Amino acid sequence: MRQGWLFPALFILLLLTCPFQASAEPGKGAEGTKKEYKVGDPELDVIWVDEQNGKYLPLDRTFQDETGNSVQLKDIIDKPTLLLPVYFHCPNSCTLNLSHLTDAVNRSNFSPGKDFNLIALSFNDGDTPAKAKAAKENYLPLLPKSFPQESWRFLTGSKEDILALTNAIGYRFEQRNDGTFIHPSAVVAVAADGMIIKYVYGNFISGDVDMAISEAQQGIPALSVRRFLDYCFNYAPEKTRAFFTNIKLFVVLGFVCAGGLFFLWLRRKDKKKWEEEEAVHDEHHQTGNKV
Amino acid sequence: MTATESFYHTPSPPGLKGIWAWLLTQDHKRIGLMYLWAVGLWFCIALCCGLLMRVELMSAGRTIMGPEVYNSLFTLHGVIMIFLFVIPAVPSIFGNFFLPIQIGADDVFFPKLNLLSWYLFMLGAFLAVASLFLGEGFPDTGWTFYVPFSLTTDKNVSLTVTAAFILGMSSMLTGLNFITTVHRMRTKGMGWMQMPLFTWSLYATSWVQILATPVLSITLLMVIFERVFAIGLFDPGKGGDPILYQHLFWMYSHPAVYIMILPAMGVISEIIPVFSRKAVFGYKGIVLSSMGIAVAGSLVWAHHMYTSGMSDVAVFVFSLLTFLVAIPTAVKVFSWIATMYKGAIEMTPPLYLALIFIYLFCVGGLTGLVLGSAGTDIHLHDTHFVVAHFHFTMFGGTGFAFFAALHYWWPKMFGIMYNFKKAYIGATLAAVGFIFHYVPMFILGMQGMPRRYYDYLPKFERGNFLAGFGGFLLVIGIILMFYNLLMSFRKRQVAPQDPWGGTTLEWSVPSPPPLHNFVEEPKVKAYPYDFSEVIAQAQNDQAHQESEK
Repeated sequence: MRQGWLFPALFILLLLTCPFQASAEPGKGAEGTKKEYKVGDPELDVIWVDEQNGKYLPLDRTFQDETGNSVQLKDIIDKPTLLLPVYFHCPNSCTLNLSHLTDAVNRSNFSPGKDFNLIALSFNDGDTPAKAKAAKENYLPLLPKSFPQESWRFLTGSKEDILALTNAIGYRFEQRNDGTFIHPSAVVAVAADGMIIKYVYGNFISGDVDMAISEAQQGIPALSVRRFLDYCFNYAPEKTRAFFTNIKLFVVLGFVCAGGLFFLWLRRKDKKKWEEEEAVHDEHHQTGNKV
Repeated sequence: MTATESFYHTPSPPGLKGIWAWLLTQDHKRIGLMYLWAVGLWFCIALCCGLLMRVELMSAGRTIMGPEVYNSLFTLHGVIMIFLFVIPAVPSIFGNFFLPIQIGADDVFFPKLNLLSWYLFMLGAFLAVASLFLGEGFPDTGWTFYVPFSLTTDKNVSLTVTAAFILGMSSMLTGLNFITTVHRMRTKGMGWMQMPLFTWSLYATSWVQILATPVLSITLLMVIFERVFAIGLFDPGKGGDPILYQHLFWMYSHPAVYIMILPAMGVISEIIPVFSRKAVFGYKGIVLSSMGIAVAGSLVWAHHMYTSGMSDVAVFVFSLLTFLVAIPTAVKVFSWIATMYKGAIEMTPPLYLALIFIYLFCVGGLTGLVLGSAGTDIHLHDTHFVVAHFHFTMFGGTGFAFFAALHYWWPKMFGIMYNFKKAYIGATLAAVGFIFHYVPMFILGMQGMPRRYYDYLPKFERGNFLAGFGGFLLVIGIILMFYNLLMSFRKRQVAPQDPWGGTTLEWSVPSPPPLHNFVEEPKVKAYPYDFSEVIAQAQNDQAHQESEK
């Protein structure tokens, strides 16, 4: 049978895909229904931000502000608040996130301190109030002199408190061996009562941030606009090296097979041509002999 | 059957009747018309989506829909408009119908592949719409399917992505067919520099289609693989790179902008000389600029990503390349204007629409430079300014060129004329509505109104109301144009073979053309836009009329 290769090929393909069958579509259980999960669940580790709109922050958790004072979240969230998870010695996008947020505040139609507050939360439990203070001093000059300094807190805390807060906002981060973190860039808008209202992604354009503040003032959870979710990470190509090596291997094999088939086809054509020429020659020869 | 009987009366393959004569046809003209009705239908659906969105935005707060519906609606509007209207409209409809005739051939090189392309187009289109109703609902990621949202959303992304994959394949097969047709089927005596400019633009487009579309296909496959197998290609936690998706996506999707606009420019390059009764200025310049746009346009994808995290050098290089695309584009615009200069201009609906195209496209192109330069882009990124810019380019450009092509070739395709007055009124309403619709968006964008929101701050209310008002005018204008064209079937006013005084080969065949296009051997002119015979004929007619008086 001419297509005899088809079924073995399909069988091999089926075998190859079997190991992947276990990992179903993200966010879904075996029955296809949406599954409840916790941030950090390895089965669902493609999700870096799981929006928790409408839920509340753990307001009783305690952190240290940049002056070293202990503060509970409920003490500093008394009006709409923008919460930005970062870490203070980040070599990549945290600095950009902080400056984008500063820029958005500069362009905002709302008054900081009066209409909203800001929190920069370090999710690195190794960060200290001194580092927080240095970070704050770095960004305050970008804001106008009239900016009320007490309305932007730079918080650090214990691992337990940090995880309680990041889990509450569905924010996942992962520390690498080199001490850096992989984490998404997102600002979370929170209402005066601690309710999570909205997530702002990308580079926090002022219009997005203003909409989030406006919605936080109303206190009604809002749907986030799903722009590009930025990440902060050190690219590690060695992780996918095996996959790309396999792809290269398949491509080379494909070319070899295609080349082989082409060669066989050419040879067959040549053989056919040669046979035809031979037949003509023979015929001519026989005719000649007859003559 | 006579040799001049139109293709409507002689189906291919012969012997088939009724709907089968259409569904199994291999005739490029019938396939072109099948694309026309299909694309027209999708365009109307996407137009309704767009209008509903503008109604929602006419006043602040929730009016007729909530954020979830709005997100799905703008994705649906984007997917249909891009993949089912703007990309395929001009090449698939007018390219299929007129490319073989313009080069003196009786069909495309692969007629069966041509029919397969139509079926793939329809399959992709139905899958895209079906994904609205199946599973958890239509994707809310926008037509760009950006990761990680397209990987983590529980909406029906896989099916929509599959639909886009199939549509890409259809587009690629059409491109392949056109390139082969141009290379192998030009009539005897037609050299490269004797091809009409519309054919040249399709040729350039086809190269972009077959070279760029596979990148999108692979990218979409990667999204499906990532969703199903969670390999980690785009996940930094597994060593993947989320920006890789953006690079791959825009590597196709920016050249796709030129797949949209190049055939539209080809249409305008046909219309302007015909109604100026003057050889097109700088024929070779237009040809080279088409190829130049195809090449340069494929190298500028990363200007969509200035704010996504790139090195300063990359930003500089892509900004520079983006500015370079303006050169071949400007060559075309200046050529059209120079062609009209001192021409014997005859105003008709196609020319009127072509002039509207030039104006709107120039605004779209120039505002593109604002976004192409990194500094201003950072201020305007993801605001309504971007929305206004790409609608000026795609809708003001390709959309109005599509309307112009429809009015220009309608007499040839159907053998009937339409009412000029209604066409002028429809085009004027559409153009005025368009400007009222999109100019406020430029201002809103500069004021900081972000895109993709169903709601906004109160200070943006006036601009949005004006934009909504313009949107209604625009839709009324479009409906009037379509109504006028459709009414021409009822009030059948027979069109002559060459109603406009065109010189390319399609005007040398009967209207509508017979099955094999040419009744006699096509005569190729040394220069495709030589109007000396047309002008001499007009002068003769005038002299004859005066002598009669």
